[in-house]
Amino acid sequence: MVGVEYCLYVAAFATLFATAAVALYGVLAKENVVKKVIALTILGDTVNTIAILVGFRVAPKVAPPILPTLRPSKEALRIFASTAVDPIPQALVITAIVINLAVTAFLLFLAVRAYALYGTLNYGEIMRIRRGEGA
Amino acid sequence: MVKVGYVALAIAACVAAVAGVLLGVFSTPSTLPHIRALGRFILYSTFNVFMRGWWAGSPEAVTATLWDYRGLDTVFETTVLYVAVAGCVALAYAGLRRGGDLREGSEGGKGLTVVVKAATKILFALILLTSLNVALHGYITPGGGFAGGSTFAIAPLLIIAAYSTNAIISRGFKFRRSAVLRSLGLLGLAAVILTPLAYYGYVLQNQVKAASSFPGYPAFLGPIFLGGSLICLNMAEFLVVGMEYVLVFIAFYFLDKVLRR
Repeated sequence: MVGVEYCLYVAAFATLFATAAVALYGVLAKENVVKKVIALTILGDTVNTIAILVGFRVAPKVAPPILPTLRPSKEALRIFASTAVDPIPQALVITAIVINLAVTAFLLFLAVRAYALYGTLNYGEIMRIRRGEGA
Repeated sequence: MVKVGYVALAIAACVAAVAGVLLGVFSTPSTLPHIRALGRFILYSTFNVFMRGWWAGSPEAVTATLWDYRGLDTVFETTVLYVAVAGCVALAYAGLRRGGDLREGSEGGKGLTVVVKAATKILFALILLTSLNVALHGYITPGGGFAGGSTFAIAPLLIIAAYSTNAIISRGFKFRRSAVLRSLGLLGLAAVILTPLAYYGYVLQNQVKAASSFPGYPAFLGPIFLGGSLICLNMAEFLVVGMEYVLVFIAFYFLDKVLRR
């Protein structure tokens, strides 16, 4: 028998993957380079959320991955390990967010440089100018 | 025509990903409340005072994962951050003549109204304090070097919005100074990471381990809880992340200056 939590979990996954699909479409099909970068940040955030959701647990009692005491008993440690969420996805995501921002800044710098060089942000236009120069 | 192909590709990729993940995660609903064995092991041992051969000396399992159990990951992520910011700076400085152009000017726009500027000054101090707090307490409470550093990055952004881009430069965030502070942070990371090697320990060793003669960084200093190497690594990473972002903002100022000529 599937419960409400299970259905919500599946619904959250489905929503996130739909968002990822839209973002992937934006990255591939948008002509404007800045819009591509925006779609890429949405894709990155969606993937981060999926990673957090994979580490989440659907249980009657869910705790954050922080032990509330500095003098734990063995029983407290056992309860902590069986109720807290997975810390590994959270550790990966906190670094991923920071790096995402730096990489986005790099892409935007590239876009500004490309605009200065070609006078347009349109990807197809830039490729046409480049082919024209090559021929 | 090309667009239709892209859409089909995107939808196919997403359907495949959904199918794969759903098959893996939802094969049996009864397995849902459990987390993976590795996560459970880290949760159980991160502050297990009865099992000091495996503990990380930090009740915050995320920071323990970041800097102890999966420390090498974090070192390489710091490298990725460094390379991305170096790329930004290189792109901004390409085309600048040596000498005169590098001078950081004091001219600037008028900025926003007095009300906004006064509020920005108060907020700047508050953000600075909050980010330091987040980084310093990262081994007991949610936070750490990465979170603190990106909180700190909001402060120069606020000044850019309220005053102008070169306001952050004339207020002391000079390019060279930021780069030196960033390098100091990286050196601090390297020092904390490599010190155990001098005692025939492991790289990134935090607490005492079997088959290593390094005694471990102190978890307690009298009554004060220190959390081993985590507090030093968090503060160094705070310096690195915060200053990398400041470098990006300054580089954008120079990019603007080069392109306006």
